[in-house]
Amino acid sequence: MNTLAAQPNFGARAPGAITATDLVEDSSFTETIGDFTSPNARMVCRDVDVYYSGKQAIKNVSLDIGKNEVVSMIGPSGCGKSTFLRCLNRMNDTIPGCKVSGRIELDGTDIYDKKRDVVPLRAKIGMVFQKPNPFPKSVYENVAFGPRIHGLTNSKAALDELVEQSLRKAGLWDEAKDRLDQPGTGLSGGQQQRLCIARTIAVSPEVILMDEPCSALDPIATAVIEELINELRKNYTIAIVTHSMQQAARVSHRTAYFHLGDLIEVGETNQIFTSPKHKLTEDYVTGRFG
Amino acid sequence: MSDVTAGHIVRSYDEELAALRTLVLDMGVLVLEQTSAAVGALSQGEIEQARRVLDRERKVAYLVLDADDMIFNLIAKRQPAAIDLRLVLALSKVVAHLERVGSRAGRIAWSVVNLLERGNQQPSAKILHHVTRLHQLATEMLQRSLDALANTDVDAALEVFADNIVLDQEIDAAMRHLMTFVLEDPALVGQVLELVLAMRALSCIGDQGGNIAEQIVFIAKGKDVRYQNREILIDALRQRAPSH
Repeated sequence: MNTLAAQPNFGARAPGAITATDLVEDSSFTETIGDFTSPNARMVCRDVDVYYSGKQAIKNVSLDIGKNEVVSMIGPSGCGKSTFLRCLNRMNDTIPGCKVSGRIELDGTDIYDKKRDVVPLRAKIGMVFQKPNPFPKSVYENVAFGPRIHGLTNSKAALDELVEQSLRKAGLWDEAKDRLDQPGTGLSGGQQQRLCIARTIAVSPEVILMDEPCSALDPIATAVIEELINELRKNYTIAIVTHSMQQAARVSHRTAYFHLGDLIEVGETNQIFTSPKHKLTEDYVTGRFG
Repeated sequence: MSDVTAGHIVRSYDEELAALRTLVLDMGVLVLEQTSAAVGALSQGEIEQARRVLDRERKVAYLVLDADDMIFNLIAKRQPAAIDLRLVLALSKVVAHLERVGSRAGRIAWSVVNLLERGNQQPSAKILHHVTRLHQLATEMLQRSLDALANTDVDAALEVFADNIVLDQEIDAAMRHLMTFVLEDPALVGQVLELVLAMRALSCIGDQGGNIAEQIVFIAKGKDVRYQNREILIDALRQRAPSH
Protein backbone atom coordinates (compact mmCIF):
# COMPACT_ATOMS: atom_id res chain seq x y z
CA MET A 1 0.00 0.00 0.00
CA ASN A 2 1.42 3.34 -1.01
CA THR A 3 0.61 5.48 1.98
CA LEU A 4 2.81 8.42 1.03
CA ALA A 5 0.59 9.60 -1.77
CA ALA A 6 1.61 12.32 -4.21
CA GLN A 7 0.95 15.84 -2.95
CA PRO A 8 -2.69 16.65 -3.46
CA ASN A 9 -3.40 19.48 -5.84
CA PHE A 10 -5.73 21.66 -3.79
CA GLY A 11 -7.52 24.12 -5.96
CA ALA A 12 -8.02 21.92 -9.02
CA ARG A 13 -11.62 22.93 -9.51
CA ALA A 14 -14.20 20.38 -10.51
CA PRO A 15 -16.00 21.47 -13.68
CA GLY A 16 -19.51 22.77 -13.12
CA ALA A 17 -19.13 23.16 -9.38
CA ILE A 18 -21.64 25.46 -7.74
CA THR A 19 -19.55 28.24 -6.37
CA ALA A 20 -22.02 31.10 -6.26
CA THR A 21 -23.37 32.31 -2.99
CA ASP A 22 -26.77 33.62 -2.05
CA LEU A 23 -25.13 36.12 0.24
CA VAL A 24 -23.70 38.57 -2.22
CA GLU A 25 -25.65 39.45 -5.29
CA ASP A 26 -24.25 40.84 -8.51
CA SER A 27 -23.31 44.48 -8.97
CA SER A 28 -26.61 45.51 -10.57
CA PHE A 29 -29.12 47.50 -8.55
CA THR A 30 -32.88 47.25 -8.68
CA GLU A 31 -34.07 48.05 -5.17
CA THR A 32 -32.67 48.66 -1.70
CA ILE A 33 -31.69 45.46 0.10
CA GLY A 34 -32.62 45.28 3.77
CA ASP A 35 -35.36 46.77 5.90
CA PHE A 36 -35.27 50.55 5.58
CA THR A 37 -38.06 51.00 8.12
CA SER A 38 -37.68 51.45 11.85
CA PRO A 39 -40.24 50.39 14.47
CA ASN A 40 -39.77 53.65 16.40
CA ALA A 41 -39.26 55.98 13.48
CA ARG A 42 -38.88 59.69 14.24
CA MET A 43 -37.91 60.57 10.72
CA VAL A 44 -39.57 58.78 7.83
CA CYS A 45 -38.23 59.32 4.31
CA ARG A 46 -40.04 57.85 1.32
CA ASP A 47 -39.16 57.92 -2.36
CA VAL A 48 -36.83 60.88 -1.99
CA ASP A 49 -35.32 62.23 -5.21
CA VAL A 50 -32.90 65.14 -5.30
CA TYR A 51 -31.84 67.00 -8.44
CA TYR A 52 -29.11 69.61 -8.74
CA SER A 53 -29.98 71.73 -11.78
CA GLY A 54 -31.72 68.77 -13.39
CA LYS A 55 -29.01 66.24 -12.55
CA GLN A 56 -30.27 63.51 -10.26
CA ALA A 57 -28.16 63.13 -7.12
CA ILE A 58 -30.51 60.95 -5.02
CA LYS A 59 -32.71 58.30 -6.60
CA ASN A 60 -35.89 57.18 -4.91
CA VAL A 61 -34.39 56.70 -1.46
CA SER A 62 -36.54 55.48 1.44
CA LEU A 63 -35.10 55.29 4.96
CA ASP A 64 -36.37 55.65 8.53
CA ILE A 65 -34.35 57.00 11.43
CA GLY A 66 -35.60 55.63 14.72
CA LYS A 67 -35.86 57.17 18.17
CA ASN A 68 -32.57 57.02 20.13
CA GLU A 69 -30.99 55.36 17.14
CA VAL A 70 -27.72 56.19 15.44
CA VAL A 71 -27.91 55.62 11.69
CA SER A 72 -24.72 55.99 9.70
CA MET A 73 -24.57 56.65 5.99
CA ILE A 74 -21.52 55.44 4.15
CA GLY A 75 -20.43 55.34 0.55
CA PRO A 76 -17.80 56.64 -1.85
CA SER A 77 -17.45 60.36 -2.59
CA GLY A 78 -20.31 61.66 -4.69
CA CYS A 79 -22.67 58.83 -3.73
CA GLY A 80 -25.26 61.24 -2.31
CA LYS A 81 -24.98 60.50 1.39
CA SER A 82 -24.35 64.13 2.40
CA THR A 83 -27.02 65.32 -0.03
CA PHE A 84 -29.50 62.98 1.61
CA LEU A 85 -28.46 64.08 5.10
CA ARG A 86 -28.94 67.73 4.13
CA CYS A 87 -32.46 66.94 2.94
CA LEU A 88 -33.36 65.94 6.48
CA ASN A 89 -33.36 69.51 7.77
CA ARG A 90 -33.91 71.27 4.45
CA MET A 91 -30.34 72.52 4.22
CA ASN A 92 -30.56 71.89 0.48
CA ASP A 93 -33.14 74.70 0.28
CA THR A 94 -30.20 77.09 0.36
CA ILE A 95 -28.63 75.59 -2.78
CA PRO A 96 -29.82 77.23 -6.03
CA GLY A 97 -31.18 74.72 -8.54
CA CYS A 98 -31.72 72.01 -5.96
CA LYS A 99 -35.05 70.23 -6.16
CA VAL A 100 -36.21 67.70 -3.56
CA SER A 101 -39.23 65.45 -4.10
CA GLY A 102 -40.74 62.57 -2.17
CA ARG A 103 -41.82 62.73 1.44
CA ILE A 104 -39.75 63.41 4.56
CA GLU A 105 -41.55 63.45 7.91
CA LEU A 106 -40.52 64.29 11.44
CA ASP A 107 -42.88 62.68 13.94
CA GLY A 108 -45.53 62.32 11.25
CA THR A 109 -45.44 65.84 9.86
CA ASP A 110 -44.07 66.71 6.45
CA ILE A 111 -40.95 68.83 6.85
CA TYR A 112 -41.30 70.05 3.26
CA ASP A 113 -44.78 71.45 3.87
CA LYS A 114 -44.85 74.87 2.23
CA LYS A 115 -46.23 76.44 5.40
CA ARG A 116 -43.38 75.06 7.49
CA ASP A 117 -40.95 77.62 8.91
CA VAL A 118 -37.45 76.21 8.40
CA VAL A 119 -35.88 78.17 11.29
CA PRO A 120 -37.62 76.20 14.10
CA LEU A 121 -37.32 73.07 11.95
CA ARG A 122 -33.53 73.41 11.92
CA ALA A 123 -33.60 73.90 15.68
CA LYS A 124 -35.50 70.61 15.99
CA ILE A 125 -33.19 68.91 13.55
CA GLY A 126 -29.75 70.26 14.36
CA MET A 127 -26.65 69.78 12.31
CA VAL A 128 -22.94 69.42 13.00
CA PHE A 129 -20.62 69.94 10.06
CA GLN A 130 -17.36 68.46 8.87
CA LYS A 131 -15.26 71.43 9.89
CA PRO A 132 -15.86 72.92 13.34
CA ASN A 133 -17.48 76.30 12.72
CA PRO A 134 -17.87 78.17 16.00
CA PHE A 135 -19.12 81.75 15.76
CA PRO A 136 -16.39 84.38 16.26
CA LYS A 137 -17.76 84.96 19.73
CA SER A 138 -17.05 83.71 23.22
CA VAL A 139 -17.59 80.10 24.23
CA TYR A 140 -20.61 81.25 26.27
CA GLU A 141 -22.13 83.24 23.41
CA ASN A 142 -21.69 80.38 20.96
CA VAL A 143 -23.97 78.23 23.09
CA ALA A 144 -26.30 81.01 24.26
CA PHE A 145 -26.94 82.42 20.78
CA GLY A 146 -29.49 79.83 19.66
CA PRO A 147 -31.60 79.75 22.85
CA ARG A 148 -31.62 83.55 22.87
CA ILE A 149 -32.91 84.00 19.31
CA HIS A 150 -35.43 81.20 19.76
CA GLY A 151 -36.57 82.73 23.07
CA LEU A 152 -36.02 79.51 24.98
CA THR A 153 -35.13 81.18 28.28
CA ASN A 154 -36.54 84.19 30.13
CA SER A 155 -33.74 85.07 32.51
CA LYS A 156 -29.98 85.31 32.62
CA ALA A 157 -29.85 82.61 35.30
CA ALA A 158 -31.89 80.24 33.12
CA LEU A 159 -29.63 80.96 30.15
CA ASP A 160 -26.54 80.33 32.29
CA GLU A 161 -28.03 77.05 33.38
CA LEU A 162 -28.84 76.04 29.79
CA VAL A 163 -25.31 76.90 28.61
CA GLU A 164 -23.81 74.82 31.40
CA GLN A 165 -26.11 71.87 30.73
CA SER A 166 -25.38 71.99 27.00
CA LEU A 167 -21.63 72.13 27.56
CA ARG A 168 -21.91 69.27 30.04
CA LYS A 169 -23.88 67.13 27.58
CA ALA A 170 -21.24 67.86 24.95
CA GLY A 171 -18.53 66.76 27.36
CA LEU A 172 -16.89 70.20 27.28
CA TRP A 173 -17.88 71.79 30.59
CA ASP A 174 -14.84 70.75 32.59
CA GLU A 175 -12.48 72.01 29.90
CA ALA A 176 -14.37 75.23 29.13
CA LYS A 177 -15.94 76.38 32.41
CA ASP A 178 -13.01 78.67 33.22
CA ARG A 179 -12.80 80.20 29.76
CA LEU A 180 -16.44 80.87 28.93
CA ASP A 181 -15.66 84.46 28.03
CA GLN A 182 -12.80 83.56 25.71
CA PRO A 183 -13.27 83.12 21.94
CA GLY A 184 -14.64 79.75 20.84
CA THR A 185 -12.18 79.81 17.98
CA GLY A 186 -9.36 79.62 20.54
CA LEU A 187 -10.29 76.07 21.51
CA SER A 188 -8.62 72.99 19.98
CA GLY A 189 -10.25 71.38 16.93
CA GLY A 190 -11.89 68.63 18.95
CA GLN A 191 -13.09 71.13 21.58
CA GLN A 192 -14.47 73.38 18.83
CA GLN A 193 -16.42 70.46 17.38
CA ARG A 194 -17.83 69.66 20.83
CA LEU A 195 -18.68 73.36 21.20
CA CYS A 196 -20.64 73.10 17.94
CA ILE A 197 -22.41 70.04 19.33
CA ALA A 198 -23.18 71.99 22.55
CA ARG A 199 -24.55 74.82 20.38
CA THR A 200 -26.77 72.30 18.58
CA ILE A 201 -27.97 70.72 21.81
CA ALA A 202 -28.74 74.12 23.38
CA VAL A 203 -31.85 74.61 21.24
CA SER A 204 -33.32 71.27 22.37
CA PRO A 205 -33.22 69.37 19.08
CA GLU A 206 -34.92 66.06 18.55
CA VAL A 207 -32.63 64.89 15.81
CA ILE A 208 -28.93 65.63 15.34
CA LEU A 209 -27.42 65.33 11.88
CA MET A 210 -23.65 64.97 11.67
CA ASP A 211 -21.83 65.39 8.38
CA GLU A 212 -18.39 63.80 8.76
CA PRO A 213 -18.00 65.34 12.22
CA CYS A 214 -14.55 63.85 12.87
CA SER A 215 -12.86 64.19 9.50
CA ALA A 216 -10.85 67.22 10.66
CA LEU A 217 -9.96 65.73 14.04
CA ASP A 218 -7.11 63.59 15.32
CA PRO A 219 -7.81 60.04 16.59
CA ILE A 220 -8.05 61.08 20.25
CA ALA A 221 -10.48 63.93 19.55
CA THR A 222 -12.37 61.50 17.29
CA ALA A 223 -12.64 58.98 20.11
CA VAL A 224 -14.01 61.70 22.42
CA ILE A 225 -16.67 62.63 19.83
CA GLU A 226 -17.56 58.96 19.31
CA GLU A 227 -17.99 58.50 23.04
CA LEU A 228 -20.14 61.64 23.03
CA ILE A 229 -22.32 60.21 20.24
CA ASN A 230 -22.80 57.12 22.37
CA GLU A 231 -23.98 59.32 25.26
CA LEU A 232 -26.13 61.60 23.09
CA ARG A 233 -28.06 58.73 21.55
CA LYS A 234 -29.76 58.16 24.92
CA ASN A 235 -31.62 61.45 24.42
CA TYR A 236 -31.44 62.17 20.71
CA THR A 237 -31.92 60.57 17.34
CA ILE A 238 -28.71 60.78 15.33
CA ALA A 239 -27.89 60.44 11.65
CA ILE A 240 -24.22 60.55 10.75
CA VAL A 241 -22.40 60.65 7.43
CA THR A 242 -18.89 59.32 7.67
CA HIS A 243 -16.06 58.32 5.36
CA SER A 244 -14.60 56.18 8.12
CA MET A 245 -16.12 52.74 7.91
CA GLN A 246 -14.64 51.83 11.27
CA GLN A 247 -16.39 54.85 12.75
CA ALA A 248 -19.71 53.77 11.27
CA ALA A 249 -19.10 50.28 12.65
CA ARG A 250 -18.27 51.65 16.10
CA VAL A 251 -21.00 54.23 16.65
CA SER A 252 -24.10 53.25 14.70
CA HIS A 253 -26.94 50.81 15.17
CA ARG A 254 -27.87 50.72 11.52
CA THR A 255 -25.81 51.48 8.46
CA ALA A 256 -26.98 52.62 5.04
CA TYR A 257 -24.72 52.19 2.01
CA PHE A 258 -25.15 54.69 -0.83
CA HIS A 259 -23.75 54.32 -4.34
CA LEU A 260 -24.25 56.73 -7.25
CA GLY A 261 -27.36 58.19 -5.61
CA ASP A 262 -28.98 54.84 -4.85
CA LEU A 263 -29.47 53.46 -1.36
CA ILE A 264 -28.02 50.03 -2.10
CA GLU A 265 -28.37 48.33 1.25
CA VAL A 266 -29.42 49.15 4.77
CA GLY A 267 -29.20 46.89 7.78
CA GLU A 268 -27.98 46.34 11.29
CA THR A 269 -24.42 47.63 11.46
CA ASN A 270 -23.15 44.20 12.56
CA GLN A 271 -24.69 42.62 9.49
CA ILE A 272 -23.41 45.25 7.06
CA PHE A 273 -19.83 44.82 8.28
CA THR A 274 -19.82 41.04 8.61
CA SER A 275 -22.23 39.72 5.99
CA PRO A 276 -23.38 42.42 3.59
CA LYS A 277 -25.90 41.09 1.11
CA HIS A 278 -25.12 43.21 -1.93
CA LYS A 279 -21.86 42.90 -3.82
CA LEU A 280 -21.45 46.67 -4.04
CA THR A 281 -21.68 46.95 -0.25
CA GLU A 282 -19.21 44.14 0.22
CA ASP A 283 -16.78 45.63 -2.28
CA TYR A 284 -16.94 48.96 -0.47
CA VAL A 285 -16.55 47.72 3.12
CA THR A 286 -13.71 45.38 2.16
CA GLY A 287 -11.76 48.01 0.21
CA ARG A 288 -12.38 46.48 -3.20
CA PHE A 289 -14.37 49.33 -4.67
CA GLY A 290 -12.39 50.83 -7.51
CA MET B 1 -16.85 31.99 -6.63
CA SER B 2 -14.05 34.28 -7.72
CA ASP B 3 -10.89 34.25 -5.66
CA VAL B 4 -11.96 35.61 -2.30
CA THR B 5 -8.51 36.93 -1.50
CA ALA B 6 -8.33 39.11 -4.63
CA GLY B 7 -9.63 42.47 -5.79
CA HIS B 8 -8.58 44.87 -3.04
CA ILE B 9 -7.48 48.35 -4.03
CA VAL B 10 -4.44 47.76 -1.81
CA ARG B 11 -2.83 44.79 -3.53
CA SER B 12 -0.58 43.92 -0.64
CA TYR B 13 -3.79 43.08 1.24
CA ASP B 14 -4.61 40.50 -1.49
CA GLU B 15 -1.11 39.10 -1.12
CA GLU B 16 -1.34 38.81 2.66
CA LEU B 17 -4.69 37.01 2.52
CA ALA B 18 -3.47 34.69 -0.25
CA ALA B 19 -0.25 33.98 1.68
CA LEU B 20 -2.26 33.05 4.77
CA ARG B 21 -4.50 30.71 2.80
CA THR B 22 -1.47 29.13 1.08
CA LEU B 23 0.17 28.55 4.46
CA VAL B 24 -2.98 26.86 5.73
CA LEU B 25 -3.19 24.67 2.61
CA ASP B 26 0.51 23.76 3.00
CA MET B 27 -0.29 22.76 6.55
CA GLY B 28 -3.06 20.59 5.09
CA VAL B 29 -0.55 18.87 2.80
CA LEU B 30 1.76 18.21 5.74
CA VAL B 31 -0.88 16.69 8.02
CA LEU B 32 -2.20 14.53 5.16
CA GLU B 33 1.33 13.25 4.61
CA GLN B 34 1.63 12.62 8.34
CA THR B 35 -1.62 10.68 8.33
CA SER B 36 -0.63 8.57 5.33
CA ALA B 37 2.82 7.90 6.76
CA ALA B 38 1.36 6.85 10.12
CA VAL B 39 -1.17 4.52 8.52
CA GLY B 40 1.58 3.16 6.24
CA ALA B 41 3.72 2.45 9.28
CA LEU B 42 0.78 0.69 10.90
CA SER B 43 -0.06 -1.50 7.93
CA GLN B 44 3.58 -2.37 7.15
CA GLY B 45 4.86 -2.65 10.72
CA GLU B 46 7.44 0.11 10.17
CA ILE B 47 8.35 1.40 13.61
CA GLU B 48 11.03 3.77 12.28
CA GLN B 49 8.51 5.39 9.95
CA ALA B 50 6.17 5.82 12.92
CA ARG B 51 8.96 7.51 14.85
CA ARG B 52 9.62 9.86 11.93
CA VAL B 53 5.95 10.84 12.02
CA LEU B 54 6.31 11.70 15.70
CA ASP B 55 9.48 13.69 15.01
CA ARG B 56 7.73 15.71 12.30
CA GLU B 57 4.91 16.77 14.64
CA ARG B 58 6.92 19.87 15.54
CA LYS B 59 6.73 20.98 11.87
CA VAL B 60 2.97 21.18 12.24
CA ALA B 61 3.41 23.19 15.43
CA TYR B 62 5.71 25.66 13.64
CA LEU B 63 3.12 26.16 10.91
CA VAL B 64 0.43 26.78 13.56
CA LEU B 65 2.61 29.48 15.11
CA ASP B 66 3.32 31.04 11.69
CA ALA B 67 -0.37 31.07 10.78
CA ASP B 68 -1.37 32.58 14.13
CA ASP B 69 1.26 35.27 13.67
CA MET B 70 -0.04 36.13 10.20
CA ILE B 71 -3.64 36.23 11.41
CA PHE B 72 -2.68 38.42 14.36
CA ASN B 73 -0.90 40.91 12.12
CA LEU B 74 -3.61 40.87 9.46
CA ILE B 75 -6.29 41.76 11.98
CA ALA B 76 -4.16 44.46 13.57
CA LYS B 77 -3.08 46.08 10.31
CA ARG B 78 -6.04 45.58 7.96
CA GLN B 79 -9.07 45.39 10.25
CA PRO B 80 -10.77 43.02 7.81
CA ALA B 81 -14.52 43.29 7.25
CA ALA B 82 -17.25 41.20 5.64
CA ILE B 83 -15.89 38.33 3.53
CA ASP B 84 -12.28 39.19 4.43
CA LEU B 85 -13.13 38.97 8.12
CA ARG B 86 -14.99 35.72 7.60
CA LEU B 87 -12.04 34.32 5.65
CA VAL B 88 -9.50 35.25 8.32
CA LEU B 89 -11.64 33.89 11.17
CA ALA B 90 -12.38 30.71 9.20
CA LEU B 91 -8.70 30.14 8.38
CA SER B 92 -7.91 30.59 12.06
CA LYS B 93 -10.33 27.80 12.87
CA VAL B 94 -9.07 25.63 9.99
CA VAL B 95 -5.56 25.91 11.46
CA ALA B 96 -6.88 24.48 14.73
CA HIS B 97 -8.66 21.66 12.85
CA LEU B 98 -5.49 20.79 10.93
CA GLU B 99 -3.44 20.88 14.11
CA ARG B 100 -5.84 18.30 15.46
CA VAL B 101 -5.34 16.15 12.33
CA GLY B 102 -1.60 16.30 12.93
CA SER B 103 -2.09 15.30 16.52
CA ARG B 104 -4.31 12.37 15.54
CA ALA B 105 -1.73 11.21 12.98
CA GLY B 106 0.72 11.24 15.86
CA ARG B 107 -1.70 9.09 17.86
CA ILE B 108 -1.75 6.48 15.07
CA ALA B 109 2.06 6.53 15.06
CA TRP B 110 2.03 5.89 18.82
CA SER B 111 -0.20 2.87 18.22
CA VAL B 112 2.46 1.48 15.87
CA VAL B 113 5.14 2.03 18.50
CA ASN B 114 2.97 0.43 21.18
CA LEU B 115 2.13 -2.57 19.02
CA LEU B 116 5.68 -3.31 17.90
CA GLU B 117 7.73 -2.15 20.86
CA ARG B 118 5.66 -3.76 23.57
CA GLY B 119 5.78 -7.16 21.96
CA ASN B 120 2.35 -7.27 20.44
CA GLN B 121 2.21 -8.84 17.05
CA GLN B 122 1.78 -6.95 13.82
CA PRO B 123 -2.00 -7.04 13.11
CA SER B 124 -3.11 -9.28 10.30
CA ALA B 125 -4.27 -7.89 6.95
CA LYS B 126 -7.79 -9.04 7.81
CA ILE B 127 -7.84 -6.85 10.90
CA LEU B 128 -6.10 -3.97 9.12
CA HIS B 129 -8.66 -3.95 6.32
CA HIS B 130 -10.85 -1.51 8.25
CA VAL B 131 -7.96 0.82 8.95
CA THR B 132 -7.19 1.00 5.24
CA ARG B 133 -10.80 1.72 4.38
CA LEU B 134 -11.19 4.39 7.08
CA HIS B 135 -7.89 5.97 6.08
CA GLN B 136 -9.09 6.25 2.50
CA LEU B 137 -12.42 7.81 3.54
CA ALA B 138 -10.92 10.21 6.09
CA THR B 139 -8.13 11.50 3.87
CA GLU B 140 -10.49 11.90 0.91
CA MET B 141 -12.73 14.02 3.10
CA LEU B 142 -9.84 16.13 4.27
CA GLN B 143 -8.42 16.53 0.76
CA ARG B 144 -11.79 17.51 -0.63
CA SER B 145 -12.38 20.03 2.16
CA LEU B 146 -8.99 21.63 1.49
CA ASP B 147 -9.72 21.71 -2.22
CA ALA B 148 -13.05 23.37 -1.45
CA LEU B 149 -11.23 25.86 0.77
CA ALA B 150 -8.83 26.73 -2.05
CA ASN B 151 -11.80 27.51 -4.33
CA THR B 152 -14.36 28.63 -1.72
CA ASP B 153 -16.51 25.92 -3.29
CA VAL B 154 -19.69 25.34 -1.28
CA ASP B 155 -20.77 22.51 -3.56
CA ALA B 156 -17.62 20.56 -2.74
CA ALA B 157 -18.15 21.32 0.96
CA LEU B 158 -21.60 19.70 0.73
CA GLU B 159 -19.98 16.51 -0.60
CA VAL B 160 -17.72 16.45 2.46
CA PHE B 161 -20.77 16.66 4.73
CA ALA B 162 -22.26 13.69 2.88
CA ASP B 163 -19.01 11.73 3.25
CA ASN B 164 -19.02 12.45 6.99
CA ILE B 165 -22.25 10.47 7.31
CA VAL B 166 -20.68 7.52 5.44
CA LEU B 167 -17.57 7.70 7.63
CA ASP B 168 -19.65 7.51 10.80
CA GLN B 169 -21.43 4.42 9.46
CA GLU B 170 -18.12 2.78 8.47
CA ILE B 171 -16.56 3.34 11.86
CA ASP B 172 -19.55 1.76 13.61
CA ALA B 173 -19.34 -1.28 11.33
CA ALA B 174 -15.56 -1.54 11.82
CA MET B 175 -15.87 -1.43 15.62
CA ARG B 176 -18.46 -4.16 15.62
CA HIS B 177 -16.28 -6.32 13.37
CA LEU B 178 -13.18 -5.78 15.51
CA MET B 179 -15.05 -6.99 18.56
CA THR B 180 -15.67 -10.31 16.82
CA PHE B 181 -11.88 -10.85 16.66
CA VAL B 182 -11.62 -10.33 20.40
CA LEU B 183 -14.48 -12.73 21.04
CA GLU B 184 -12.79 -15.37 18.86
CA ASP B 185 -9.35 -14.86 20.39
CA PRO B 186 -9.15 -12.89 23.67
CA ALA B 187 -5.35 -12.74 23.29
CA LEU B 188 -5.90 -10.17 20.55
CA VAL B 189 -7.38 -7.66 22.96
CA GLY B 190 -4.21 -5.56 23.21
CA GLN B 191 -3.82 -5.44 19.43
CA VAL B 192 -7.48 -4.63 18.85
CA LEU B 193 -7.42 -1.92 21.48
CA GLU B 194 -4.58 -0.13 19.66
CA LEU B 195 -6.45 -0.49 16.39
CA VAL B 196 -9.61 0.91 17.95
CA LEU B 197 -7.59 3.95 19.05
CA ALA B 198 -6.09 4.27 15.56
CA MET B 199 -9.50 4.03 13.94
CA ARG B 200 -10.91 6.60 16.35
CA ALA B 201 -8.05 8.86 15.30
CA LEU B 202 -8.94 8.35 11.62
CA SER B 203 -12.57 9.09 12.39
CA CYS B 204 -11.47 12.31 14.06
CA ILE B 205 -9.34 13.21 11.01
CA GLY B 206 -12.36 12.77 8.74
CA ASP B 207 -14.43 14.87 11.13
CA GLN B 208 -11.91 17.69 10.77
CA GLY B 209 -12.63 17.61 7.02
CA GLY B 210 -16.29 18.17 7.90
CA ASN B 211 -15.34 20.97 10.27
CA ILE B 212 -13.30 22.65 7.53
CA ALA B 213 -16.25 22.31 5.14
CA GLU B 214 -18.39 24.19 7.69
CA GLN B 215 -15.91 27.04 7.56
CA ILE B 216 -16.23 27.18 3.76
CA VAL B 217 -19.98 27.69 4.12
CA PHE B 218 -19.22 30.45 6.65
CA ILE B 219 -16.81 32.17 4.25
CA ALA B 220 -19.09 31.97 1.22
CA LYS B 221 -22.50 32.46 2.79
CA GLY B 222 -21.84 34.15 6.10
CA LYS B 223 -23.74 31.40 7.94
CA ASP B 224 -22.32 29.62 10.93
CA VAL B 225 -23.42 26.02 10.35
CA ARG B 226 -21.48 24.39 13.15
CA TYR B 227 -23.32 21.97 15.44
CA GLN B 228 -26.11 21.46 12.94
CA ASN B 229 -27.53 18.16 11.76
CA ARG B 230 -25.55 17.42 8.60
CA GLU B 231 -28.42 15.81 6.69
CA ILE B 232 -30.71 18.78 7.32
CA LEU B 233 -27.85 21.12 6.45
CA ILE B 234 -27.16 19.41 3.12
CA ASP B 235 -30.85 19.66 2.20
CA ALA B 236 -31.04 23.32 3.20
CA LEU B 237 -27.91 24.33 1.33
CA ARG B 238 -28.80 22.34 -1.79
CA GLN B 239 -32.22 23.99 -1.90
CA ARG B 240 -30.61 27.41 -1.68
CA ALA B 241 -27.81 26.74 -4.13
CA PRO B 242 -28.41 28.28 -7.56
CA SER B 243 -29.04 25.90 -10.43
CA HIS B 244 -26.39 25.26 -13.04
